[in-house]
Amino acid sequence: MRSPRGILFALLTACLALVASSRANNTQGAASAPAPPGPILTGLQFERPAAADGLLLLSGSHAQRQLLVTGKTATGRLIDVTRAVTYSAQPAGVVTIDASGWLRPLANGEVLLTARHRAGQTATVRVSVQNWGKDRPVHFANQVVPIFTKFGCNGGGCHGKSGGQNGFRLSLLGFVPTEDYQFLAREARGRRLMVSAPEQSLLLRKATGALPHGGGTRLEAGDPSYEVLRRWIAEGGRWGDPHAATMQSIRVLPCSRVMTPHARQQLVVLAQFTDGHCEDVTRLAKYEANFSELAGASETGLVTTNGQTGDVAVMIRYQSQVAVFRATIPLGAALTSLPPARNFIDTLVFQKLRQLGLPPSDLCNDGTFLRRVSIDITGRLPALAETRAFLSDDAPDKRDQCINRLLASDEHAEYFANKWSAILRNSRKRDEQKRRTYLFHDWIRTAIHQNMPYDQFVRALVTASGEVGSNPPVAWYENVREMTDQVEDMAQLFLGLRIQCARCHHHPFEKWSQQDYYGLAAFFSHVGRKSGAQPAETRIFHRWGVASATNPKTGQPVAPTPLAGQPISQAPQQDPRGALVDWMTAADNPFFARALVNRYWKHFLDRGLVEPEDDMRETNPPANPELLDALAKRFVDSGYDMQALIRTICQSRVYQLQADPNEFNATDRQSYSRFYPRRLQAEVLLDALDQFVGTTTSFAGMPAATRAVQLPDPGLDVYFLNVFGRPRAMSACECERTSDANLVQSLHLLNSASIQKKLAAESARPHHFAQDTQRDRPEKIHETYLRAFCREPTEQEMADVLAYLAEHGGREQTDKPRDHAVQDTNVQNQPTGKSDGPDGDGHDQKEQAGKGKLATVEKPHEGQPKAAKTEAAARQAAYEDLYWALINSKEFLFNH
Amino acid sequence: MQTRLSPFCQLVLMLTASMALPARAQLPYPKLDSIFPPGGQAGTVVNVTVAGTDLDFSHHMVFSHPGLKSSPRHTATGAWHDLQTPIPNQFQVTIGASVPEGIYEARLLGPWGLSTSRAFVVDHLDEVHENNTNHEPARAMAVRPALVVNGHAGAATLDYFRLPLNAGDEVLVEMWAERIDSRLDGTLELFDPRGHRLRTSRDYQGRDPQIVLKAPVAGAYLIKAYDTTYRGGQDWFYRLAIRQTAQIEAVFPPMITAGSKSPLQLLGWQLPDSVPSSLRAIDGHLFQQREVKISAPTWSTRANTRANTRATRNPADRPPLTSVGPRAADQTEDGFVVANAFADPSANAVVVGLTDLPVVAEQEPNNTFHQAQHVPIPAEVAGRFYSQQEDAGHQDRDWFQFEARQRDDLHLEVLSFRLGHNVDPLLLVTRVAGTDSAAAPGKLVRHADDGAKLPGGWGLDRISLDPVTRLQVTEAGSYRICVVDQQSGQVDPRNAYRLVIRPPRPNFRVLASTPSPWNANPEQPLRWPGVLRRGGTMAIEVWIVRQEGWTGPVEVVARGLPAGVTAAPLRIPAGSHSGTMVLQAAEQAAAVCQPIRIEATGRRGDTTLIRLAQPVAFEWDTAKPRGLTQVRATADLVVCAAPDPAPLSVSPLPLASAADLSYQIAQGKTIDIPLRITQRVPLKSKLEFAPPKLPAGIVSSFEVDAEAPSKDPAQGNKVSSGSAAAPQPKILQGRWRLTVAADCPVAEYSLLLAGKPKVTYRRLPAQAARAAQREQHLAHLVKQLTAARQQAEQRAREGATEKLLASEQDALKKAAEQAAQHEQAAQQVRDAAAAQAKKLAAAAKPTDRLAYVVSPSIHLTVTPPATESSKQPITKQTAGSQ
Repeated sequence: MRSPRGILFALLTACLALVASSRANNTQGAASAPAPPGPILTGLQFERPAAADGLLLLSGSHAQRQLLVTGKTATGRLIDVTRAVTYSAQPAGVVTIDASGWLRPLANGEVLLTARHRAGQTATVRVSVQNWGKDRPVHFANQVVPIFTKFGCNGGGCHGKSGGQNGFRLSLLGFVPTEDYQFLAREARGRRLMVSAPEQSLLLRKATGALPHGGGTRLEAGDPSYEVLRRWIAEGGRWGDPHAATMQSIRVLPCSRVMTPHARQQLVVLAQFTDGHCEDVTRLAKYEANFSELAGASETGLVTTNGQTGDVAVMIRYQSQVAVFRATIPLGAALTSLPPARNFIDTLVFQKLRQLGLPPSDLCNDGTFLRRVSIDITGRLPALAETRAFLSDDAPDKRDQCINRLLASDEHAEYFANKWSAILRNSRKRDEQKRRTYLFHDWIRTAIHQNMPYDQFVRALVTASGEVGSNPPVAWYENVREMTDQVEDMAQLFLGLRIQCARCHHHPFEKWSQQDYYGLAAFFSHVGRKSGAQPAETRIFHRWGVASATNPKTGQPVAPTPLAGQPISQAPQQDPRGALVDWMTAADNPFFARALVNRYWKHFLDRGLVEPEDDMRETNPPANPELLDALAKRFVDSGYDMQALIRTICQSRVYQLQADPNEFNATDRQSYSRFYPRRLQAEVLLDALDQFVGTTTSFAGMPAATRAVQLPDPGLDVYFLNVFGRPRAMSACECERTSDANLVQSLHLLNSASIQKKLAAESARPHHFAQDTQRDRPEKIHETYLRAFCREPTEQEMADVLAYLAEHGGREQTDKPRDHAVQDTNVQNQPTGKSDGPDGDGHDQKEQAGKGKLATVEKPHEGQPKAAKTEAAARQAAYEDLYWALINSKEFLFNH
Repeated sequence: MQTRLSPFCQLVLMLTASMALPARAQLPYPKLDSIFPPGGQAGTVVNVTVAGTDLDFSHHMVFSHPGLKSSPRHTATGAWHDLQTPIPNQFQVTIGASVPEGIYEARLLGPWGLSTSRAFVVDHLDEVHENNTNHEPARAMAVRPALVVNGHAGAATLDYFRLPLNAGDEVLVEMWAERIDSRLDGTLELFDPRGHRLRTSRDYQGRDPQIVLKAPVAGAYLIKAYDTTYRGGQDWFYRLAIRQTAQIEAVFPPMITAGSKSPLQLLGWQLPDSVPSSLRAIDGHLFQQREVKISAPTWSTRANTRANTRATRNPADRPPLTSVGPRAADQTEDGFVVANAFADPSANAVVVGLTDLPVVAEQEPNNTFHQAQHVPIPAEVAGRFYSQQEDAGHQDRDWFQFEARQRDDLHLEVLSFRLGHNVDPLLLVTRVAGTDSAAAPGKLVRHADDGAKLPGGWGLDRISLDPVTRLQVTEAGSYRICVVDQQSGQVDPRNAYRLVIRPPRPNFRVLASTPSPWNANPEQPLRWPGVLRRGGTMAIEVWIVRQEGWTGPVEVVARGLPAGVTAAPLRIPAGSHSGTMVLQAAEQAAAVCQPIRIEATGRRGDTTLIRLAQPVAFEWDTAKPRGLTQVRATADLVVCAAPDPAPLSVSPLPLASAADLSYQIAQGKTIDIPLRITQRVPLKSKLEFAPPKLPAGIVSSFEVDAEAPSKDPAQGNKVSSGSAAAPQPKILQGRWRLTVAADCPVAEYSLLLAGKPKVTYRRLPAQAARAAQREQHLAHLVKQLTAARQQAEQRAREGATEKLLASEQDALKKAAEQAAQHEQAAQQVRDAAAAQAKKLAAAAKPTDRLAYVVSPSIHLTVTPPATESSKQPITKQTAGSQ
């Protein structure tokens, strides 16, 4: 890097408002701060489900129970004191309780259990132990299989994967216990179990590490789980009572809590069986927090919060059932000056912030808003005239007007067509498929431009038949050719559900089974294909017949069935896809509208209310459920008006908050207490660069002045776009687009020949500025800052830039013709670059050219014309430096 | 388009372009790629530029309408006649004022005969050329209503036009590209004066776009035209028409009972005396509608009114180019052109179908089983895939009910795809259960989707999407038919259909074309001009589309052949789908071009059916699989013997006792057919001939006997030199042995021999010689002019020294300058002529080329063994000398 540029860059980046930097810093916060002394309690109680006569029942010698003791503070808050109390049981010898509240029976009988807090409060519960010593034989499905899940034996990376591991196979996450039983007790003539000497069983010796085991030691001899396994083998390794009750559901206690930072909360997980009895499976369930920065959960169901503020959900899985515990960790700061709510978004977000005690940042200024909303709605920077007009506009509703103007523009349609085109997988493998991808892209663009209601948009896509020429949405069936991909893409795109797991097995984090999957698949089972009238094109049609798919597990046909709905029967000539869309677009569909509003919310606010935006499931709860519901309802009520949705979001104060954090919310990443800055998308960045510098990028085969956002498909290999993470439209996931920063990107912007070429182009602003004799330097700097950031330069920036330009760019024509000598001396004193070191890089030709330019300035007295020329060259080089520095600033690279 | 160049520069460029052809491994076959402009206004003279391969020395354009005439263009060189040079590939086309508007075939005639065809459009509007600087909105080319712009799409460029309109002006902007053989897949966009996009159109008429606009405000509207995937070049030509005249886009019903005077509903734009229709075009506009009464021709005279679908402007009458096989075969037979639907000469002509059955129009609502409309049979139902209640995703269904008697034999067929509509119809037939017609859906008895695939390959074997089925009624009662279009998306009221319900009528249709023999893969056809060289042959492939159970044999004859051209009748046996008709040109056949008719005759019981073949042609060579192969119907099939002699020919000889090439053979026997092989140029490969197609049970072998005595054997090895002083050909004799297996079906066969020998060939030797002479002549002229210039200069110098008046001196000086200019002009022409002569001489050097040679076809009758003795004793017979 040329040293003057380096200096300038450092200078500018230092003084620019680096709003974006807050993204990663300070996430650890006060992680090591000591826990505050316990609050004063006003009450204490044992948490338990509302059961008959308040009795805790332990049935059998191996019953166990996690106790949960909750205290009430003076402010009415509930806190977990399970580990902060001392337990005693009267009479003794019936049960035993450890410090974590783990209760086990010792003999039949009834006791009164007392928990005593150090502040003196007590709570009691009666416990009855029955059937001690009269244990029923171990039931394989209910008792053995959960152990495999708990210890990860049947995970996808282990024996649970298709084909198993090292010859031993289990059904994934124990969803098919009959198979597990087959594999374990019957396969290989039962060599894995040794009934006569259970401890010598291969199963146990491997699991305890007594024999070499790729998965390491998973169990210790004597563990309760070990005991269950041992007992099961000793009892003959049988399936158990074929009529035994099966598990129906699980629930967690408590299901939500407000917690303080660095606090703990014990969870209790109870499994409900078909015969009505209930078992504690706290230590057999699996726990996973969605935000590890906020909280973690231990194997025993103990949730520990970290130092951050926000909402965290802990997913609890037990066999095929899932439950969620949600914790809110408020900061507790006072919200003194909330901006007035503009719409329900503000009401609901501010309500959340109040709960959290998390003061939001201030509203952003007009320039920031204009740049932000232009990028988010149209994927481009505001034009200079737009910026000037907006900044000088006094209308109180100018932000609303601006949003409306942007929504009506072609650029909005182009930008969102780009977004949809990628997730609708509009890509081509061969050149002759261009017609398909171009037509489809144009259809999307037109639909967005005309603000086609979303339900119609989806109906046109999902029910498409015919040929791409007359009905471009059929392209989706060409882009997504396999039936399974159609089911999965449809679910992910339009329902926000990742259902692909259920193709091969029960969804691990969801209630969806293979039956559900193939019920959906049946809707696509009669999509027919034939040659089109245009060669190389296909005609999609409903293949006559009654739609049905086959569940590979059962081998049985499955009728088209909406998720959690009833099978739909249709005449053979009826296309079932119509019925699918009828279900999807019904006002009460729980997925359809939510998925879209969440997707768009993420587009504008950087983080979905559910994140990832297309993985909406019970176990991945929204950050603000009320807001998600309200947005969805408003969206449905509006007749699926996508522009109205965007308008509502962009008009909200929440969207218009500053990106700069206040003293409280720097670490907030999910409560929307400030605007989260994000790097410009690849296409937007390239266009912004061109727009700012005044150049164009030419794309092979596309008309001149085509912007990157307008490219109809990713078929063109554009290095810049690849480096900055443009998706290849290979999946329905927006995650294919990466916004990660990496070294290649930085180097490309800093050093690459293509960027340097743009800066030095004759059409570029540095050249024009150097030639422009009408305007003075401050004017040009002014314009430059308005173009880049929609704001005026600060005084400091102006001074710094002026100083730099004066030093390196020589005299501006508009400058008063003052002492040439000083100017010349300045120029002569410049390092020529020769001392910078060996020119061994070889990759930076522009750099060399630049050096040459400066070098020629050393000889200013060789005749007037040449001097004028070299002066102009120096001026241009200096302006190039300025532009170069600005495009490399975070303020330029980020939408903030 | 090129920027303006001086005529000399143009000449040089053209010469360079036309000569810079890659060395080809085959004989020259002229292929015409483009004509620009691709049309003109009736009653005007248009200068056109053509492009293609092997078009050198084409001197004439041949059109499918006698009112279109052409002459080659020459460089203008003032009084110096000697310097006038024909400009290659440029012609002046005179369009008669009375030529009706429509699309005509245009071909080039040159030393190798007729080229492949391109469309040439005649319209009544004024014409301009795109100015080629209109690639950004600010530089949009100004246009006005009632104008046709001829343009090219450039690669990755956009063409802009500025159209000023008053508020309320109605215009129709249409782009003609696919319909006129262009590679362009057009898109039109229209922006209002404020720059807001009003419309985007694609694939409105086939792939061609069209926009209808009633200007909401006064101002300059912007039209943006480009190829959908931004391709472009010379072959991406288009005509952009801005009309304010009546345009009929659809008729309903799509057919009329022969001999009747029937009402016809016209849908379109700017129709005089029309009312707004309730039917909405796919761009959202309500059509205009008007009723007219039309007198249909009678059924017996329908052959005379056969529709030349290419001559009308109504796009629906020109089915999309692909699938032309099934479409062209059916549609043109039973339709007639309505050129004057109402008194407006500017309105376009339309094709209306003709039937001998009563026509029943569909009555909505008939969307459900229970709403089925009762129709008497036999009948034709006219319906539309359109219903006002239709919303996205819910298709129009049309239900009809008819009563069938025991043992009724019914042919059920839908015609819609073949009428040129973008539809995919499905036909279901259910029998109403019991006597209760209100009972639930009935029992499905027929499910018909696509029609039969046309056999034969060559890109013609596409499936007709129209369903056809046969119902032999075993249970008398009520039957219900459901007709539905299986595609969603656009709901287009133009999509009408004919539902035929009547007893079967075995029938056949015929297609004819000249497919390239060089195709490696019939799925990737190459264009082929069907060149007939003097003394040589030309093959025309004839396809029989068998319908409704037609299985019988067909005899095909060619009628209207030019003098000196002959063709033996072609027999296509029962069950077979194609055959090759061979035309043979006499050694001295004149280069007279004439459209010929291929007529096929078959018998249905006592009735003789005569069907005229519909000529079809391939639009472009298909370079790679799944490329845009396009086939289209052509208005005619023109034959013209080329002056270039065939390098080699092979002819079976009649047996001593027979007058023609008819042979008879019994099953299980062998026959030797004598052959005469005429070799006009040296051969570079072994002589090998074999039948391209052989019926099962017949085995063929070929053998060359000996060289026949020639008057001057030394001449035999001389190279052919065009029409100039042709050397004596070398005559060889050969034998073609056919062995017929005992189980070979008894039938009449047409058989022929074909081969691809490598020959030594000289390209245009006579033209090369003439060019050399001309160059010498021009050199001489230049010398003379140089002398004249020197003389004039001398005179001017002398004049300066003499005491002449200033005006006299000036005159001398001017004369010297003029002489210098003449010399320079002549020098340029000479240089160009020299360059051309050099290139022609190089091209005329003998090179190895592959020739495709077919023999005239023979007529072979295979008889049962018993009849053998009663006929000629031909078994194992070797033919005697001629």
